[in-house]
Amino acid sequence: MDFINATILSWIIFFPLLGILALLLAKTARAQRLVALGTTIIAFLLSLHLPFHWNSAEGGFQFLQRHAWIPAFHIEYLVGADGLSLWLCVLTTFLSLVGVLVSWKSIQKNPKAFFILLLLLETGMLGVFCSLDLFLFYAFWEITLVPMAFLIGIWGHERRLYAAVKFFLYTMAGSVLMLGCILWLYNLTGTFDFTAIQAGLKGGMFALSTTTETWLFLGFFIAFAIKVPLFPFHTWLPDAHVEAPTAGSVLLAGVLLKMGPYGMLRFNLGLFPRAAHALSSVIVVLGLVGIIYGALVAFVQPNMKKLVAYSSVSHMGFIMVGVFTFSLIGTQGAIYQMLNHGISTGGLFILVGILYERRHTFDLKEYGGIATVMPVYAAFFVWIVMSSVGLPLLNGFVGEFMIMLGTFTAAVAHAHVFAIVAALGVIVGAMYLLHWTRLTIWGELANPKNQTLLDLDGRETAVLAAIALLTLVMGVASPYFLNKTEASTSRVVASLAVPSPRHLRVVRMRPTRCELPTVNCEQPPAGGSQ
Amino acid sequence: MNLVPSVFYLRILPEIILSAFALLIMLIEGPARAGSRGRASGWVALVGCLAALAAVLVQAAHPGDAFHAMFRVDAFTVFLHVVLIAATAVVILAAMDYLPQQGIERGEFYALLLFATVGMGFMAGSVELIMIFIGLEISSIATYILCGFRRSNALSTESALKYFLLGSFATAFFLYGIALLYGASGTTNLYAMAAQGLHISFDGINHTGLVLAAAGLVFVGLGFKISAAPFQMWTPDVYEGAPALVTGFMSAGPKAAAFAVALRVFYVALGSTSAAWFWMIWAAAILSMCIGNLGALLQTNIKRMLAYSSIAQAGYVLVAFAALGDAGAAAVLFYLAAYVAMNIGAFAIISHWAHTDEKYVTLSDYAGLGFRFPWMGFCLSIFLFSLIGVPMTGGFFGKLYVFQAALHAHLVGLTVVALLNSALAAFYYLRVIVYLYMRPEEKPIACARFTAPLWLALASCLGVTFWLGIFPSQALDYAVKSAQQLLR
Repeated sequence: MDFINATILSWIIFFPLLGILALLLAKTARAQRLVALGTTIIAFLLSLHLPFHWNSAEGGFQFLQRHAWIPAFHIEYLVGADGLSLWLCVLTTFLSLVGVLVSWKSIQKNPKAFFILLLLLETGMLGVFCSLDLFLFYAFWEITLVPMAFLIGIWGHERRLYAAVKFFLYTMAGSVLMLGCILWLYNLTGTFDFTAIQAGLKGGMFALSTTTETWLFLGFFIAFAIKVPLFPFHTWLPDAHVEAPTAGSVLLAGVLLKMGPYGMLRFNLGLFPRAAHALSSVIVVLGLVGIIYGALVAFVQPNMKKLVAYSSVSHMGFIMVGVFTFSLIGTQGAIYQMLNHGISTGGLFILVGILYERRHTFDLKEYGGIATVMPVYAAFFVWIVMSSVGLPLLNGFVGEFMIMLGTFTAAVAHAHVFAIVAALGVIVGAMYLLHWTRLTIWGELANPKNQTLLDLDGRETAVLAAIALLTLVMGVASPYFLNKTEASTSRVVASLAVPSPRHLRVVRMRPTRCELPTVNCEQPPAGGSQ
Repeated sequence: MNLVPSVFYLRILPEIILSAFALLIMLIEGPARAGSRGRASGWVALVGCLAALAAVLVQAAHPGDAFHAMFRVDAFTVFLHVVLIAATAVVILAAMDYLPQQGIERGEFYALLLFATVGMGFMAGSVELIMIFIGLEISSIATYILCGFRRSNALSTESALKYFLLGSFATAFFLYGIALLYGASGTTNLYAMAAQGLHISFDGINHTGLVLAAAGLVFVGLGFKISAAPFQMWTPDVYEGAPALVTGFMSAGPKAAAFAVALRVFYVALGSTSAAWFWMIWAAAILSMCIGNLGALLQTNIKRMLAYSSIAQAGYVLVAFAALGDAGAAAVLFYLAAYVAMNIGAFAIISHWAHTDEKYVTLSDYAGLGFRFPWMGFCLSIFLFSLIGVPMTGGFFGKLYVFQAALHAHLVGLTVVALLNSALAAFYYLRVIVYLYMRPEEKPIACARFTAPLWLALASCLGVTFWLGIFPSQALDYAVKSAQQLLR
C-alpha cells in the first residue's frame, strides 16, 4: 500500500501516455476507440484512489513524490495533491472518460490521432493539478496547449483555424509572462520547489518588496486570468468553444478553465498574499463584470454553443469573486463551483453536441419543440440546465450560495455590494438559460427538419445520466466533497490573514466590523451548510 | 630539437581526420563510375565524421595548448567540436536523400562539407586571431561554393554570389578589427591579451576608442556570420536561394562556430572592457529578435521564413551573450546545441519535401501533408514546437536557460522583450503546423520515397531535441564546465 500511495499520482498522470502507446498499435477505428475508453476508465479508477485514501485532517500535500530531475537548476519531479487539487484530478479523469464517450461516433476523421491528443491532454491537465515544482508545472501547463489547439484546429467546425491559432497565441502570450515570473522567483529564492518557496516567503527567508510582489503577482495572474477567462481577457473563449468538437469543449470548459482559478489559489494567493489583498477589489469587480456581461451576452446569442460559452464567462466570474474575497466559505464555494461548472457546463456542451450531431447547426432558430420528438433528451436537458441555473438540491446551488455567503460576510470593502451584484448575476443566469430552454425544448415543433430526430441512444443516455446523477449527488452530499478540501482551504485563507495596511484601514472606517479583523480563519467550518 | 610534440597532433586529430577524408573523397570521386558517384562519397564522408567524433574523445583526453598556443583544447573546444561535427554528420545523411532527388549528387558536396567543418573546428578551438581568421575563411569559402551547388539554378547562383560578396566584405571588417586589437595589445593571442589586459591607456595615450573600434569591427564581421541585425540583410535572399539542405547547414554550423569565436574574443580577450561593448550586444539582440520575428510573420516561402526565424534565434542567443559570465556563456552553448538539432531537423524535412528543382517550398504546398506522412509530419511539428519553445523540447530548455541567465544578470528589459518575442514567434511556426494538419490538401504534391539515411538523420535530430528537453542535465553540466574553462 505504501508503494501505491507513494507513486499513485505518477500512475494517474502518466497512465494516459501508456494508453497512447497502445493506441499506436491499434489498427482499426473500433480498437482505437476501445483502447481510449479503457485507458480513460482505468485512469478514472486510479484517480478514485485519492479520495478513498484521503486524510481530511491534513491541510498540506498528500501522496507526495519527489525525485531529482535537473540538479543544475534545482529542478525536481515533485508531485502532490491537497484539497485544492484532489477533486480537480478526479474531475479531469471523469471528463476525459466522458470526452472519449461523446466522441465515439462524432469523430470519424482519423480517430487514432484524436484519441492520442485527447490522452496527451489528459496527462497535461493532471500534471498541472499535481505539480509542485514550478518548472514541472509550467511544462505541463504549456503541454496542454498543444493537443487542445490540435483538437480545435483539426476536428473543429468552420472557423476552426482562426479559433485554434487564437487560442494558442492568447494562452502562449500569458504563459510566457508567467515563465518570466517563475524565473524571477527562481533567481530570488534559488529553487523551483513550490513548498520551499512558500515556506521561505512565510518564514521570512526571502523578502519581496511590495513592487516586486505586485509584478510577480501580475505576471502569474494574467496567465491565469486568460485561462479563466476573466473579463476582459475572455475573447478567445467563445471562438475556441464554438469551433471545438464536443469533447474539446467539454474538456476546455470542464478542466482547462479550472487551471486558471486553481493557479490563482495555489500561486497568487499562496505566494503573494499582500499583492492579492491590494488588488483584490479590482479583480472582484472584473469578476462581477464578467458575471453580468457574460450573462447578458449569452442572452442575446443566436448560436447555442456560443450561449454556453458565454455562460462559462459568467460562471467563472462567480469563482473569481469567491476566490478573491478571502473568506473560508467563499473559497470553499469557489472550489466547489469549479467542480460544478465542470460537470454542468460539460453536460451543457454534450447536450449541444448531441443536437449538432443530428442537425449540424447551432442556430437557435432551427430548433424548438424538441421535447416532442426527443423526450428523454429534453428531460436531461432541463435537469442539467437547472443544475447550471442553481436550483436547490442540485450542485450549482451549493457553490453559488457559498460564494455569495462568503462574499457577503467577507472582510473586504463593499462586500455587501459585491454580494448583491453576484446575486443579480444568478437572476440573469436563470434568464438566459431558461430562455434557451424555452426556445429549444418547449413550444411548437415548427421546423419540419426536426420531425424525424432520433432520441438518445444508450451511450448518450449513459453519459448524460452519469452527469445528472453527479449533479444530484453533489447537490445533496456536498459535505463529503467539501470536508476533504476544507483543511487545505483554511490553510490558504489563513495565510491570507496577514493584516495589510489596506485591511486595517477598512476596519478603522467601519467600527461595526471591529470584532471581525481576522474573520478569515475564525469562520465556522463550512461544508454541510445545506 | 624543434620536433613538434605528437600530443599536438592528437589535439587537432578531428581536423586532421576530417581533412584526410575530404581529400580521400576528392581522390575517389575522379575514378568512380558515373553511376555510383556521390553515393560512395557520402558514406565515406559519414565514416569520416564518425571517426572525427571518436577523435574528439581522444582530443578531450589531452587538454592543453598546441602549436605555440594557437589552438587550445578545453571543454569549450570539445563541446563545440561535438556539436559541429554531429551537425555535419546529420547534414551528410540528409544529403544522401536530398542530392539524388535534385540530380546534383557529386562527391564535392561532401568534401566541401568536411572542409567547412575543418574550418569551423579551427574557429572553435583556436585562441589566436590569425588562426581564427584562417578557420573562418576555410569554412566560409566552402560554404560560398555550397550555396551555389545547384549550378543550373539562377537563384542558387545569385545566392552564392551575394553571400560571397557580402561575406568577403564582412571578413574584411573582421580582419580590420584584428589589426586594431593587435595594435592595442601587441599580441594576437586571446589569452595573452586577457592576461596583460587591454591597456585602455598605455604610453600615456588613451586607447578607449581603439579598443571600442576593434570590438565594433570584429562584431560586424561575426555579426554577419551569425546573421544578427543590423547585419542580417543578406540572410533571407541567401537562405532562399541556396539548396535547402545547405541553408540548414549554414543556419547551424557556421553560426555556432561564429558564436564560439565571438565568445572567445569578447568574453576572454575583451572581457575586461565588457562595460564598453555590452550595449552593442544588447542592441543587436533586441534588433535581431524584433526584425527576425516581424519579418518571418510576412513570409509564405518556408525557407525565407526560417531565414528570418534564424535571425530571431540569433537574437535569443545574443540575449544570453549579453548576460556575460559563466551563465551567459553556458546558456549560449546550450542554446546553440538545441538550435542546431531542431533547425537541421526541420531543414532536412523541408529539403525532402522540396522535391526536384525545389518546387514545393511555399506554405500552401504543405497543406495536408501532416496526415499524408504522419511520421514526417510529427517530426517537423516537434522541431517547430521546439523552435517555439514548448516544454519537453530542447528549444524550450535552451530558452529557459537564456532567460534565466539574462534575469540573473538583471537584464529585465531585455528578458521581457525576449519573452514577448517568443510569444510572437509562436504565430509563424504554428502557421506551418496549421498548414500541415488543418488545411485540406488541394493539389497533392509529388513526394519521393523516404530513404533510410533521411530517417536516420531525423531520428538523431529528434532524439537530441527530446534529450535536451527532458534530460538536459548532462549537456547542461558540460556547457557549464565549458563556460568555466573558457573564462578560466
